Amino acid sequence: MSAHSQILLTSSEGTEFIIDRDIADKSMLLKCMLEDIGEIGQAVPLPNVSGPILTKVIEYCTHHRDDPNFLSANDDVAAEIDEWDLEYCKVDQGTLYELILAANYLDIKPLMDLTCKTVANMIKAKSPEEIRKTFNITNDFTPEEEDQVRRENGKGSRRLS
Amino acid sequence: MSRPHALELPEILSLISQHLTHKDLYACVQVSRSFHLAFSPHLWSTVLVQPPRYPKRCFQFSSQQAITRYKHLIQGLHLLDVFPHNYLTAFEYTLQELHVSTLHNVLYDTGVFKGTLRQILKTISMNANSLRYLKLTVIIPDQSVDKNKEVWETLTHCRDVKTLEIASLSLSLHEVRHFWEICGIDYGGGNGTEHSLHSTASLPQRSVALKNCPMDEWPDDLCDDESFTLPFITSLRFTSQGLRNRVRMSSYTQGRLMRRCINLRSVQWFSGDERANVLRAERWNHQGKGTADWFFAGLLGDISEGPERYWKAVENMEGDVDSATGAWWPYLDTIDFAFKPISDVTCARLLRRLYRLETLRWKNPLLNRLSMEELFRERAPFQSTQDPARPSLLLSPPRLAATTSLPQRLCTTLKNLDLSGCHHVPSDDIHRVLESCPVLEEFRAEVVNMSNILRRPEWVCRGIRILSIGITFVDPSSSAAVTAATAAAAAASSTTTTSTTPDPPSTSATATIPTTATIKELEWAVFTRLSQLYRIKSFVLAAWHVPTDAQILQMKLGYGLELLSGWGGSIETLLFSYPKAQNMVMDDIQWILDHWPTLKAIIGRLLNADEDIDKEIKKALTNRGVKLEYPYVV
Repeated sequence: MSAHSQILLTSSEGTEFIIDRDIADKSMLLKCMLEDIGEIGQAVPLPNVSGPILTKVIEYCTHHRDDPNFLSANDDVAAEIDEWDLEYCKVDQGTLYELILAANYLDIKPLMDLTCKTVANMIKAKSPEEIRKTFNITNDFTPEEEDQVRRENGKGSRRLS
Repeated sequence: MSRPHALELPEILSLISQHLTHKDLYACVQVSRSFHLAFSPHLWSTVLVQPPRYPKRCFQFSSQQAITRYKHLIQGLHLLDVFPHNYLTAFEYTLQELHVSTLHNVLYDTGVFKGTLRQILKTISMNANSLRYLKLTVIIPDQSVDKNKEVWETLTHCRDVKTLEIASLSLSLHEVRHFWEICGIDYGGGNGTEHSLHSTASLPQRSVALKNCPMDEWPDDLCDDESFTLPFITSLRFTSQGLRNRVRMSSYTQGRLMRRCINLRSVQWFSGDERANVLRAERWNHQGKGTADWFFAGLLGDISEGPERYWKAVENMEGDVDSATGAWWPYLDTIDFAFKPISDVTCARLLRRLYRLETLRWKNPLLNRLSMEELFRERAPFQSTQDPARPSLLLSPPRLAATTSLPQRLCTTLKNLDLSGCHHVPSDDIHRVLESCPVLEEFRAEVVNMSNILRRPEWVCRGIRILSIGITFVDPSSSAAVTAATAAAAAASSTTTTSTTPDPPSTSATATIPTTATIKELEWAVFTRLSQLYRIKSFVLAAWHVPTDAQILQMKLGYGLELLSGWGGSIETLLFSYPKAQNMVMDDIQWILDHWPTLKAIIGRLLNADEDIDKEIKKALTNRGVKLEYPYVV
C-alpha cells in the first residue's frame, strides 16, 4: 500500500515540506493522525513549528530513519549521547528550546530525551551563579529568601534513586 | 510569542531533572523564583531523614520546617532511626513510598515505642490510598497478638502497595495470607479457581522479604494445608541481623515456608559475610549437625512422624533419593549451602527437584557424592502436570515460556560451581565438570590430577571466566590422607581405562609418579585445553590440599605457556599461591607481558633463589603497571 508514500507538511510560516511516510511516522502525533484519518492528500499544518526548526527535526528523523531501537534507544538515562547527536545539539539556546517544544508537540520521544539531556548537561556541576550566567537569568530572590532556600536544604535530604 | 518557554513545561522539567543529581537540583532551586518553583518538586520528591549523629547526610532538625513546608511535594520518605512525631502526621494522601527502619534497638531502649508505632500506623493509614512501596524494619518488642493485629489491620488498607518489605515484625504467615487476600491476591488456597489463576499471572513484581519472623506458631489449618501457597515470593533470604531479642525461625518452619513458595528462584541462608565469626559460632553451638537436615525435611514435606524417624532414614542413607515426592521448584536456580551441614541424601533430594540450576556453592569440607551424581544424571523430561492441584500458579518467565523442554541434566545449565571448601574432590568429578558443563562461567575446586588427560574428552566449558584449580600429575588418591575406599575406587577406574600413553601411571602407591617424558606430554595436553578457554579472566592455580609429593603445573615457557597466547584479550589476574611456588624466570614473565596486555596482577610467590632476578622481574612488572603481590606469609 502506501509504505513509500509521501506526506506534505506546512510549517508556521506556510513553508511546505515533503517527507517520506516512514519519516513522518517517527512522530507519534503524525503517525496517529495518519492512521486515523488516512492520507487525504492535503498538507498537514503544523502551526507550532517554524520552518527552520522543522528542517532540524526532519534532519534528526532522517538520520535515525533505520534505527531499529528508535523508541527505546534513550531509555537508559545514564547512556552516553552518541557523536552525531552531540553535534546535532550544538545549537544556540533559543533553537534548543524550540526543538524541545517541537519534539514535545510532535511527540518524538527520543528527540525529547536527547534535547533534555543536553539541557541537563548545561546545568550539571554548576553553582547557582553559574547556572544564572548560562541561562541568562536574573536572581529575583530577596536576600532573606535566598538565605532560607540555602538553609532549608543543604546536607539534610538526599535524593534516593 | 504566547507559547510557553520550554523550561516552563512540567513534563520537560521532569525529563531534565531525571539527569540531574541531588546536588544539581539543589543549585537549581537557588537560581531564581521560577527555577525554584520548577525544580522543587524534583528536589523534594524523596527525602531521607536520619539523626544528626550519623555521618554526612545528616538531617538538621531545624529543617523540620522545610519538610513541613514542602510536604505536598514529598512522595517518598525514608526514616532511619528517627521518628519525627511533630510532623510525621502532616503527610496526608501524598506519600507513595515509606521506609521506616531502625539500625539499633533505639525504640526498645528508650521506651518511646508505643507512641511511635501508633504514629507510623497513623501515617500509613492516612496515606493508604497513595502508598505504593512500604518497608518497615522496626522492632516490636511486645509481640502481643493485639499489636500484630493493629499492624495488619492498618496494612490491609493499603491496597496499592506493590512492594512490601517487613523485617523483624512479629507476624505469622496466617496474617500474610490475610493481607494478600485483602489486596485482591488470591493465594491459591482451597477454592483455587480460574480467578486465582488469572490474578497470579501479574504477580512477578511483588516481593516479600521476611526476616526473623517467629513464624513457628503456624495456625493449625496451615500446617498441613499443602494447597496454601505463596506464589508471589520469588526469593528468600534467611538472615539474622544484630537484634538483641533475636527470634529465629526454626529450620523446620523455614522449610515449610520454602515449600510453599512455588515460584521460588533463590534461597540464601546467612548472607552477611561480615558476620562470618558469628556464623561459625552459631554453626557449632546452636546449629549443630542436623538442623539443616531438619530444615530440608520440612522443605521436602516428607516428614509425617516427627524428627526421630526422619533421622533414622537419613542416617541409614536408605538411598531414597529416588523416592522424592512432594514439592519441586522448576525456577530455583541458586543454592548456596554456606556452612550448613546437610546430609548427602537430603541435598541430593533437593537437587532432584530442581530443573534449572545455575549456581551451586558448597563449602562443606566433605564432598557430597550423591549431589555430584545428581548433577550429571540423565533425567526424565520436566512434567509440568506433575501437580494437577495447582498447575498454573507457576509464574512463567519468558526464558521458560520460550522453550517448552527444560534441560534434562542439571549440569547443562550450571554457571557457577564452587567446591572450594571441599578438602578432596576426586579428579574424576572435576574432569566431568569441565567436560560436561557447557555454560560454566566460574568453577572453583581443589587439586585435580591430570595424569590421564590424554584419554579424556575435550573440555566444553569454553566460556569459563574464573577457573580455580590446582593441577598436578600425581594421583591424589594415592596419598595417605585419603581413605582406602577412595583409593580402591580410583584404582578400579584407572585399571579399566586402556593405556595410550607410553608409560601409564600405575595404580600402586610407589609408581604413581609418571616419568619425566610423560609429564611433558601431559603438560602440553593440559596447556592445549587451557588455551581453548578464550574468555578466561582469572586463573587461579592453587590448592590447599595438595599431596606433598605432587608437582603443581608450572607456568613456564617450554612447558606449554606459549600455547596460551589466546588469553591475551581477557586474562586479568593470574594467581598461584599455595602451597607451591612457581619458578618462573625473566623470559616467562617477559612473554606474559608481551602476550597478555590485559593482565593487571600476578599474585603469588616466585621461587627464585636469586634476589637479582626477583628484583628484575618486579621492575619489569611495575613498568607495565602489573601488580606483583605475595598474598600469604610463607
